Amino acid sequence: MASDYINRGYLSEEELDLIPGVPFSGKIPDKKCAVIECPQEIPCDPCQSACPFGAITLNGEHMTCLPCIEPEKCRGCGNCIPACPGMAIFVVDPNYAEGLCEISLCYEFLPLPVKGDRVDVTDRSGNRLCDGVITGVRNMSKFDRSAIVSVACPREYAMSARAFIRKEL
Amino acid sequence: MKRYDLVIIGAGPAGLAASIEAAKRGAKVLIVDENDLPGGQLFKQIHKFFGSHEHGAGVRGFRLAAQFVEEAKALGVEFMLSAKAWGSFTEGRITVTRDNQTTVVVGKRVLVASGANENAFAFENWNMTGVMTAGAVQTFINIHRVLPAKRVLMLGSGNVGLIVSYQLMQAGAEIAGIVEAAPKIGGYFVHAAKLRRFGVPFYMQHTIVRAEGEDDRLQRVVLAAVDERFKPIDGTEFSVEADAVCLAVGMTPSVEFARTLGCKLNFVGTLGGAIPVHDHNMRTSNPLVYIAGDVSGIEEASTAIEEGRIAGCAIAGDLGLIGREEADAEVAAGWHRLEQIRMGYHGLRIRNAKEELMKQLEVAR
Repeated sequence: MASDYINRGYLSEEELDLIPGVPFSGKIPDKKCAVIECPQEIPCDPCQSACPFGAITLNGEHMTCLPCIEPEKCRGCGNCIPACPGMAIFVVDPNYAEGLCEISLCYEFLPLPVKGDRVDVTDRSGNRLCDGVITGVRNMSKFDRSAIVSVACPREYAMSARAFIRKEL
Repeated sequence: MKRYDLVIIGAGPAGLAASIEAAKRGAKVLIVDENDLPGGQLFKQIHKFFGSHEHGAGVRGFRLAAQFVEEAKALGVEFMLSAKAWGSFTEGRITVTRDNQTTVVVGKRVLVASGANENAFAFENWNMTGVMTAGAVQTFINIHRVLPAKRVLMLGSGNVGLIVSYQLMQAGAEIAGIVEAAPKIGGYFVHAAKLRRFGVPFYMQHTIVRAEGEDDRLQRVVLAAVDERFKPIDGTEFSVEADAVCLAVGMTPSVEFARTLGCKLNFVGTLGGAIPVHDHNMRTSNPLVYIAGDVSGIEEASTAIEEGRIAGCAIAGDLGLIGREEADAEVAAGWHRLEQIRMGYHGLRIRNAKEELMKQLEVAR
């Protein structure tokens, strides 16, 4: 794979196609599914054991192999989100509501948002895409302060919305 | 004069891991550290670590430190803190100074796990208030919970620069940008991606030329593009507003005490500088002295822990506390775990450099 993403610090949509952790070839998924944006062979494997359904496996025997996702086994539970030290896992629900998708991601900035908060949704490079609404905050003790925050936004951004910035109060 | 089987210099991840393995096998162990608390840099690491389950993956660094200290204490490891080891005399005598009082301790073996020093980078006005190293920033925000600045410019895109930028954001600061002379981001992609998605700018192939401000308070930083030899290109200067510059430009192994103990050093650029040559047991050219962690080459906490484990087991074997075969098997298992971590692009460079260094000791012997 071309390593332009290393120079840049974020993945382009074309590069998404080539990553084994990204299902549906980087297109908008047809079901709720984890998207693992982990393109670089680094020594790390907690995602594999975090999945209770065996949907995540490394594509080889070494710890540095890349994680793969099997969409048919993934139930979108989000257990893998706080387990990833790289914060590279997103659960995408393409059919959250009419015309809306929901992105669940790891969020470690305090204070945590609350359900109903309006936020600015950004893409991988930090560009503002659209308005979003916080739809859920899960902060269980086993996550050790890596909260899972879900944000809803227009469905067309399901594979580009990857962060949100809280609006100035 | 207190006598020990093993005296360890440095209570970081390598020293703690070694103390546990040696004490488990019956060694009487003392750890000397100049800091007030054991744990080394682990207490500043509030992020979740990479690795696999057996390396503590997904666990935040400071929690790992607390677990290690508790385990070592339960095994009877003694700690001498706020204490500086500075001298080596005959028959394993080491001088340690604490509260202006110097005592002599004796170790049948010595493990130097003294870690590393942060590198500096000089530019015009680099001595201005507000220019600090990444370790200093971590001490401010993660130990003392003080935010040293509101808008920080980071120099260096290695893992330290990327992780400390993220931690500064968690502490409430804004990152004015990451400045990197190389064309490639030095650290892991995922660490860069988690800054990028919040809009942090990366100034690749740039450097800091000058800090500017009034009354010794930093207000602006002048950057310039660099050529392929990292020299600033005339006419490319522009300024970025910031009230602090954080330097994350690498580390140099702290080999002073190893040198005091007579360990032969060799320069290995990939590993961060002059390194005590050592073998697979982490034993140096002085047969009574072992090393582990960043002093044996700049890497990560996970590799420091594995090297510490290897050294602890090897020393237990060397002291006859366990059989030679058992020690060799433990050392081999440790190397297997290390090799797992040192796979992939980042790890292979280190692995090759380490193997080269080990060959040198074989030649020297």
